[in-house]
Order: sequence, then C-alpha cells, then structure tokens
Amino acid sequence: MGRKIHLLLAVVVLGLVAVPLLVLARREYAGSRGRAQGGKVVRLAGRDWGFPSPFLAYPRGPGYLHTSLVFDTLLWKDERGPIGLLAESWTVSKDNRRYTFRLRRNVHWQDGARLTAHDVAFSYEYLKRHGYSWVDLGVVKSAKARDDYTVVIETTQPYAPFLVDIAGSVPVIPKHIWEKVSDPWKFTGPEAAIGSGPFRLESYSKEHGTYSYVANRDYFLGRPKIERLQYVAVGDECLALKTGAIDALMLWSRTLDALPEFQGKPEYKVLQGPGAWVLRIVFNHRDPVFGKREVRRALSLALDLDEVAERLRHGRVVPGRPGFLPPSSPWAAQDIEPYRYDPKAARAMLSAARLPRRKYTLLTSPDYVREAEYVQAQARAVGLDFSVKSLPASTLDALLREGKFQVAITGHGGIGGDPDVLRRCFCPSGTEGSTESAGGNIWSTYGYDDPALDELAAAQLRESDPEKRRALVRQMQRIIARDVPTIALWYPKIYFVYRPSAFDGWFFTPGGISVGIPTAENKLAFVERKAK
Amino acid sequence: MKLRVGKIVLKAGQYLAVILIILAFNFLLPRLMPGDPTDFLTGTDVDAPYVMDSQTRARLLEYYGLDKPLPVQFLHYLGHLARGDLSYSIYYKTPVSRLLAQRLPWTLLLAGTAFALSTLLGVLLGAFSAFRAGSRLDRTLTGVLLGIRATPEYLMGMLAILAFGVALRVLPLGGATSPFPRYSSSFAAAADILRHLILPAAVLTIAQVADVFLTMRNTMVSILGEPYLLLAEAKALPLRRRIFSYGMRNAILPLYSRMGIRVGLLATGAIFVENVFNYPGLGRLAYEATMVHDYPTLQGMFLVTALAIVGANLLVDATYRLIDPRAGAAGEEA
Repeated sequence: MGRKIHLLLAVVVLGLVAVPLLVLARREYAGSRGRAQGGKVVRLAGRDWGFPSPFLAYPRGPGYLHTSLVFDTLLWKDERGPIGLLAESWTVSKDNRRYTFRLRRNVHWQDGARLTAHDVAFSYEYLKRHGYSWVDLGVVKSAKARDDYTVVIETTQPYAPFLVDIAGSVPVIPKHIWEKVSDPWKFTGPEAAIGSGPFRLESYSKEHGTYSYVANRDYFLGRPKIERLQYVAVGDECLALKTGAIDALMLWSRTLDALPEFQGKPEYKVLQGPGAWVLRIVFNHRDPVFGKREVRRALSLALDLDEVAERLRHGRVVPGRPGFLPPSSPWAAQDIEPYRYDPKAARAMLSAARLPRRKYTLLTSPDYVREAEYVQAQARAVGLDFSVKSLPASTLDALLREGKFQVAITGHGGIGGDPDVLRRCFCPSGTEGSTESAGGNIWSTYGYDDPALDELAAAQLRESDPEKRRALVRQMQRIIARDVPTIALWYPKIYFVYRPSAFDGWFFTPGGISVGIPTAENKLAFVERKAK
Repeated sequence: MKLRVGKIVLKAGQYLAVILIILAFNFLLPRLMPGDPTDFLTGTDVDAPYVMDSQTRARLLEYYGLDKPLPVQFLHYLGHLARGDLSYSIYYKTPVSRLLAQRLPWTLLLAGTAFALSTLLGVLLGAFSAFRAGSRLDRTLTGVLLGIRATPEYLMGMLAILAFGVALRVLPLGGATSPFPRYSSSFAAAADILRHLILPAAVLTIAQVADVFLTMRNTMVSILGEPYLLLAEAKALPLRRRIFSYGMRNAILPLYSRMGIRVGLLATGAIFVENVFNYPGLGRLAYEATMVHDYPTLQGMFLVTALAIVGANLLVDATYRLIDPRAGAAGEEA
C-alpha cells in the first residue's frame, strides 16, 4: 500500500510538471506557426502595456506609444516640434473656439479603405462618448465633417493647448469598423488594431508582454526604414542591451547608474533628453503651519539644492527651480532667481512665525528617503522638526489625493509639455476655464488657492498668441516662486542609449510626445519622410 | 463506516468555512489599501504625464461597479463567483479567468519543477546528512543550506543571470520563450520552454531545498535511535537500505504533512523569481496587480492561491492515513 501511494504521489508531481509543459508547448507551437520573420528588425524591452487600441492600451506613456504606432492623429511632433500629420493644414476661428482641419488626400486605413473627415469626426465623438482615459475630451463640444477632407472641431471654450494636447494626441479610428462596436473596452481582435499608422500590429502576447509590428509599406509619409519593430520580454534591460537582446533603452533615476557602461563605447550612442519630471516637496495648505507662506519660504531657504543634486544624486539630476517648470522647458521663466540657500534667514523667519514646538510628519516613498532625510536634517538645523515616514509610492499617492498628510516628497511627469500643467498643479477646481477638476489628484497642491494665479491660469488658457501666453505663464511662475506652494527639488537627466548598428535615427521630441512623454521612441524616427 | 462518513462531512464543512473566510478576505484585503484602481491607471512614473480628470474617473468607477457600497460590491462578487465568473480586470482589461488561464500553466511548470526537484534533493541530502550527523559533511551541508535559506530569491536570481546569462551567455536572461520564435514542432517549443525554465527553476529549487533538507535531517536524526534502526544496524544491513527502507519511510511523514505550507512558500518564492526573470506566471501578475490595485485580478489570484493551499492540505488529510496507517488506527481508537 505504502509503495503504491508513493508511486501515486510521484505520478501526481510529475503530472504537475508534464501537463503544463505539454499544454504550453502545444500553445506556443500553434502560436508560432506561419509567423513571418526577416527584414531589418529593431528590438526594444517590452512588457504588457495592453492591446494597442485607444481603449485597451494602458493609459501610461508606453501604452500610448504602442497605440501611436498603429493609429495617427491630426497633428504630431517631429524633432523640431508640432507638424500636421493627418491634417495638411488648419485654421482657428477668431474666438479661438473653432478649429478647421484640411486632411491629406492620400491616406488609407491598413485594410485599404480611404481615411476621410468622417472618420476624424466619428473618432472624436466616439472617444468622447465612451470616455478616453489618455486625454480629457471635456473641452470638445462637437466634431463634424464639412466634406470628405475637411473637419471642424468646436470647443466649449478657448483652449490654448488644443492643437498639441488634443489634436496632437487623439487617435483617429476607422468609422467603418468602430461604429459597430458598442463596448470598446472589450473589443479585441485583428480589426481593433487597424489604423493608418506606419506600423501594423503583427502579433501581441499579453502573457509574455511581447509585441511585433510590421512596416506599413503604403504609409502616406513614406515607407518605414525598418521592417519590424519588436518589443521583447527581458529581465534586466541594461544587461539585455549589453548582450544584444534589445537595441535601445532609456536610462533615468536608478537605472542611470548603468550609464558609464555605455558612454564612450563605439558600439553605443547616447542621447540626453529633457527632464520632464519633477521631485518636489508638497505641502498641505490646509495645515495651520504649512498653510503659512513664511514657513514654506523658510524651508526653501534651509535647503541647498545644488548639494542635493551633486551629493545625493551624484550630478545626475538638475536642481529644482522656484518657477516649477524645468529649465529645459521652452516655457520656463529663465530670469527667475534660483532658490537661495540661507539657513540664517530661514531660522529668523521661523522664530518670527512662533510655531508650536512639535514634530511634523514628512511622508515619502522608498526611492526618495535620502531626500527626505536631507530635508529632515536641514529643517532641524533651522528649528523645524520632522519625522520621516516612508510608504509605498501607490499608498503615498492615495494619501496625497485625500489630503491626509502635512508635508510629503513625491514626483510626477508631465511638466515638459504644455504650460497648462501650472494650472492643473496650482489652481483648485472651479477655476474659470477649467476643463477638469485640478483639486484632489496626486499633482495638485492640496488646499492652495491664489486668486491672482487663478486669473492668470484662466487667461493663459484662452490666449492663442504664443508670445502673449508666454508672458502670462511667466507671471504665473513668478507668483509660484513668491508663494512657494511647492519646492521643486530636482529634475532628472534622462538618457537614451542605443546601438547605432541596429538603428540610428532616434531623437527626443521637443515637449515630449503627445502631452509630454519624454522619450526617443517617436514613430516618425522610423519613417523615411518624403520632401513635400 | 458511519463514523468515517461523518468525519468526512465534518472535514468538508471545515474546509467550506475556510473557503468562505478566504472569499471575504480576498474581497476586503485589496480594498484596505489606500486609493482605488483608477489612481493607478495613470501614475507618477516618467512615462505617465497625464492624470485622469474627475469625470473620467467617476465614469470608470461606475463602469466597474466601484461606486457602489462595499456590501453591494461583495454580493456582486459572490454572485459572479457562483456563476463561475471571476470578473473583468480593470487594469488588464480582460476577463480575469482568461488572464489566470494564460498565466497559471507557467507557474505550475515553474513551481511544479521546483517542488519536485527540491523535494527529491532535500530528502536525499537530509537523510544522508542525518546518517552522517556531526561529520564535516553534515556540518558543511547544514551551514551552506542555512546560508541559502537566508539569501533572498531575487539576489540569487540576479547572480544566476549575471553568471549564466551575461558572463557565460549559455542561458537566456529572462522570459519564458525565445522572442517571436517559429517552431518546427511542439517538441521544439518544449525544448525552448525548458531552456528558459532552467535558471528560474534552479533558483526556486535552491531557495526551497533548505526547508526540505532541514525538516528531513532533523526528523531523521530524531528517529536514528529508534530500536528498529538499531536492529537494522545490528543485522549489518547496508547503509542505503537502512536509509531508504527503514529511515526515510518514517522520516518523510512530517515533510508530507507540511505540504500545504510548502505550496504557500512556493507561491511566495515564485513572486520574486518570476519578477527577476520576467517569467509570465501568476507571481509576476500578483506583483503587477498589487502595484496597480487591480481588485478583480487580485481577488482571482488570491482565490487560486488559497484554493491551491487548501487543496494541498485536503490531499494530505485524505491520503495521510494511506501513507501512515498508524494515524488512522490512532484516530479510530480515539
């Protein structure tokens, strides 16, 4: 009996290994049959960012980039800035509420049908109706096709970021396919990935996180320079680039430690990109202590941000600026004086404020404990006592959104694109011209409200003249520098390392792709663009 | 016979109660984390410049039923579960059952291999070490395996990648198959899968073997003084026979009763190993789903893991008497 049961157990254990192996081998073999290969292939590190349709791609930068390979937008950005993509030209009405786009005539969907203004109008209406989680379409009032190649989009209010943030971000989907789809969140299959973009989805595996795109030879801007763009699953990306498993990667933050491995070696090239991300101190302005401007200013005077950049981050970041926008942003007011380090003045300001003697809580996430401990030490030296509490980043985000904090160190992207980010970060919901609730998200500066800033925020949103808008944005940055609603600690340096023998056309996009994704993975890098 | 049926019914009732408690925890635990899934559809990474507006957020909460009170959500969860529906993933935007069906075979393959190999190795080494208790070999083996037990899986994984993937370049750095392969047959696919399995399975095996080794060695040492083993030695039976036929059959029993715990340890180990090797199993899914607060996926994951542990315990309970007839006899006498 004993022997039999041992045998039975051995069979069960062997079955545990053999059955899955058999199932997986059959599944993988079936999936690989008929798979085309060959041509010039560029490989990047992949993980699952969702099926590349506007609804199923995860609404994060990489998810959007996958969608952008297959679907085009009215406008896009190349290495110099915004250009017409599906739109050949456009005009804006005098009241800045109506945009008329003339479309190119030689654009076809990947299934051969012609792309017309009806598709564009349908896309805007459809995405607005079903909720598109990459950009807020609340400002779009209507989209109508005037004829086959003219589309008119009306907005509910003048909205200066419209051309880049909306016309340059909203994917145009084929009406003849999507008009039959009632629940786009569950629409998959080959038809869901038919776009007009430079690449066609060849295969996608959610479990492996792999994507293979094949060149759309009939792409209206010209044939892509590579045959396939593939995203493959790798463990460590730096090791994968070194061993040739991938051809390029982006380095920033922790992975930046690997940069010397690639610098100065002939087989690699390194591009430096804009640091469109910020690590900053956020204050709960409803707190009786940190709601006071002099306390925040005193803390800013107690910090030596050059020291933070050099000693804490080994020169791999750029010190924060009082105007909030990074120095690489074309909208940054370069004439605002940097944060001053003056602990004596900080101490004097704090003693004048007569704060109760108690310990305050400084929240952070594990990646930024070094900065929190530095702030703690510097603040203690000027008479402000903090206890540091490190929480998982996701938990910290939730507490910030709910206003359950006093002071926190957190970071986010999106500051390299349109300057409307200032409104979203520093103006509470209900601001005139607001298209979304700026309060209560992880970006917003909890409880901060300055009527002059709100007014400027609303004015810049209406202003279509770039120079006039620049002046308004500059004034906003001055108020932010004066009020210190936040303290920008640093902006990361971002690098893109690639193997030129595999592909040598990469470029960082000014202002980032779409609403500001700082990457060199721009689809136009792969396109042999014809001279107009 | 009646008594036995009654016992089985009682045991089944106990397991049912355990499952109900598990379901309640499955539902509540993810929701105890601050925030909700819509917070994590975007985020603070360099690649997430957009933060969702409140209208879209409200629409998504409504779409996924997260705007309803918790008791209503729990009833919906039970209702769906009763129909065999594990709900729809908020982050992965696919039915959870499909997600689990895709990932489960990979974890079964990885954890099953590690379970089989670590059991075999641990039992053999543990028995051998116990018979040589106090010798240099025993001390070395115990020391090395205690050291391994204290080493985190992810560190072992990184070292294995550096040695075999980067320095020697004999094994892949990660993933479960070659990228975009074209296999000539299912055998070729199996060979590729096995090649990718070597490093993660080896790391998980090594991480698990210490537990088996120590249990086996300690039990074996404690029974070495038993009269039947002294008799076997007095009869000058060869060492191999004394180990396998006399010692191991008895020493293996505590190991067998720890099977449920080992399944739990394997599931935890798989989370680390799958993440280091980018292996597409449930461990990696568990990590990703936790980071993005994907409630339905987490509920499904916890359910599968809990059922696997409960199932392993049930199997041990049901078969223990077959392996050790004394247990049944003692139970019936009582």
